[in-house]
Amino acid sequence: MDATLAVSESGANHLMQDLIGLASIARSGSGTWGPFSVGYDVNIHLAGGTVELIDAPSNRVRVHNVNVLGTVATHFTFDLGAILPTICIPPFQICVDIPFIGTVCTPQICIPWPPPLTVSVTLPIALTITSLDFGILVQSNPTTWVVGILLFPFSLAIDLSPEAGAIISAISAEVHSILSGIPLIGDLIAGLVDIVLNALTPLLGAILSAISGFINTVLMLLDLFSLTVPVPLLTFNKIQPALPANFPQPGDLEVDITLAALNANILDHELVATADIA
Amino acid sequence: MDILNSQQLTYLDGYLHAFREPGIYTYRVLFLPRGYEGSEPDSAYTIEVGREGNEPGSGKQHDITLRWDASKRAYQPEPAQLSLGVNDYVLWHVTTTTVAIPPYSIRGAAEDRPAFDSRAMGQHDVFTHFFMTSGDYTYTISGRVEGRISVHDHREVDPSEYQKRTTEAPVVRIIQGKPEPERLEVFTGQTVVWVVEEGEQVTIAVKRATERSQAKPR
Repeated sequence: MDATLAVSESGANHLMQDLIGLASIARSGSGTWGPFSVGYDVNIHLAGGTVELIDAPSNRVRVHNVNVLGTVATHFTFDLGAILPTICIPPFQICVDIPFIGTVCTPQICIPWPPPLTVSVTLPIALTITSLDFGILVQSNPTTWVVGILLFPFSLAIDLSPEAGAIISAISAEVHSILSGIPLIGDLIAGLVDIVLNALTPLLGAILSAISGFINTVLMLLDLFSLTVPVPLLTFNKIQPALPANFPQPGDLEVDITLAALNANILDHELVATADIA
Repeated sequence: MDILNSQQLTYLDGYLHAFREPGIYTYRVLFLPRGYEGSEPDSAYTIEVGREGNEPGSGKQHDITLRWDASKRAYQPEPAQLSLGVNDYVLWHVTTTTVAIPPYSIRGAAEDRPAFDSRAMGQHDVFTHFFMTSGDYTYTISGRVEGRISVHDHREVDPSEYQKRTTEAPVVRIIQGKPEPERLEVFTGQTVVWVVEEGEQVTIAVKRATERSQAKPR
C-alpha cells in the first residue's frame, strides 16, 4: 500500500518563491590598499525566478532568472597627509615696515592636512542568474520525511568595475570640498585632487575585485545557495492520522499510519512524492 | 576656529623680539603651562648680539624655525645658535605638517636677567597670526581693552581681489594697552601683525570667537 503526492510546476514555483523571498543576508568586510582603508557593508536579497521541473532521470529543479539585488556601502578612509606633498602658504613672504623695528616679513605656514577623511559611496548590486539547477534529495529524520533540493555548483561573475567612476567622482568631490576650505591654495586644488586620484586609480581594480569576491562569498552563505546542505521543500510527518474513507460514522476512531519510505521524482513536470505505508 | 593667544603660540603664530643691547642671550622654548617651568626640557639656545649693528628701525630679520620632536618632547630650533647685530630682530615660528603639537612660548634671558617673554610682550615685540578659519574674533589686550578682527572666508571674494588682499599684512599698533585700529576686516589666508609700540607685559588673547555664516563661494 502506498500514497502519492504530486506538486505541479506552478506549485513548485510557489514553494520556490517562498524560499527565494526568505533569502537575504548582510555582512561587512574591510581591507587596506596603499593609503586607502576600505570598509564595505554588503546587503543582498534574492527575487524573481521561475521554476522548471525536469523529468527523471535528470530529476532537476531548474530556476530561471533569479535576481540578486542589494547594495554595497563602501567607505574609503584615507589620510591626505600620507598622499599630498607639503605645501607652505603664502607662496611668497609678506613684508611690512614697522617703525623702530624695520621690515618684518611674516612666516609661512606649512599646511597640516586635515585629519583622515572617510568618503562613503553606495554601489548598487543588480544581476540576474539565468539558471540555477537543484537536485532532489529525500532525507529521513526521526519523525519526518523531508524532500529537499540541493544546488549544483554554478559560477557567478560579479563585476563592479562599472562603478569605478562613481567612486572616483565621490572622492574627487570630497577632496575638492575639503581643500577649497584652505586659503591660498585655490590654484593648486585641481592638481592636488589629481594626486589623490592618481594614488587611488591603480588600486581601484584590486579594491573592486576584492569587494566582488566578498559579495560572492556572502551569496554562498545563503541557505538556498549551499552546495552541501539541502534546503527543505516539502516536509511530511512519518506518522499521519487517517480517518476511514467515505462518511466516517460516529464512533469511528482516527487511525495512525506510518510512512515507512519515501521517494521523490519528477514525472511529467510534476514533483511526485511516493510513500510506502507500513 | 583659530586659537588666537600670544601666550600659547601655535603653528599659525609668530613672535618677534628686537635686540637693542649687545650681549649673550639664552632662550628656552616652553610648552608647559606657567608654574611647570621646572619640568620643561633643559635645552637652552643662544643668541649672540654683537656690538656692531644697525640703527633702530633698520635692523635685519633672522628667522628661527621650531620643529616639534615628539621623541624628545621638545621643540628644536633651527638654527640652534644665532649671531646678529644690535637692533636686529628674531622671528620665531613653527613648521609642522600636523596640528598635534603643543602650543609654546619663548622666554629669553641675558646674564640670568629676564630679557624677553612671548607670554608678556615688551615694547617693540611683535605677534603675528595667520588666519586659517573665518569668524569674528573679539580679543583683549592684556585682558582689558577689546579689539575685533572679522575674518571673511576667502571664497566670498573675487579671486583677483583676494590675491591683492593676500599681499597685505594689516598692522595693529598697541599703544598703552589699546589696539589701533580697534577693528579690522581680513580674509582667511591673511596674517595680522600686532606691534607693541608702547607698553610692557602685553598679552593678546581671544575673548570670544564666533563662526561666520556659511561662506558663499563665488
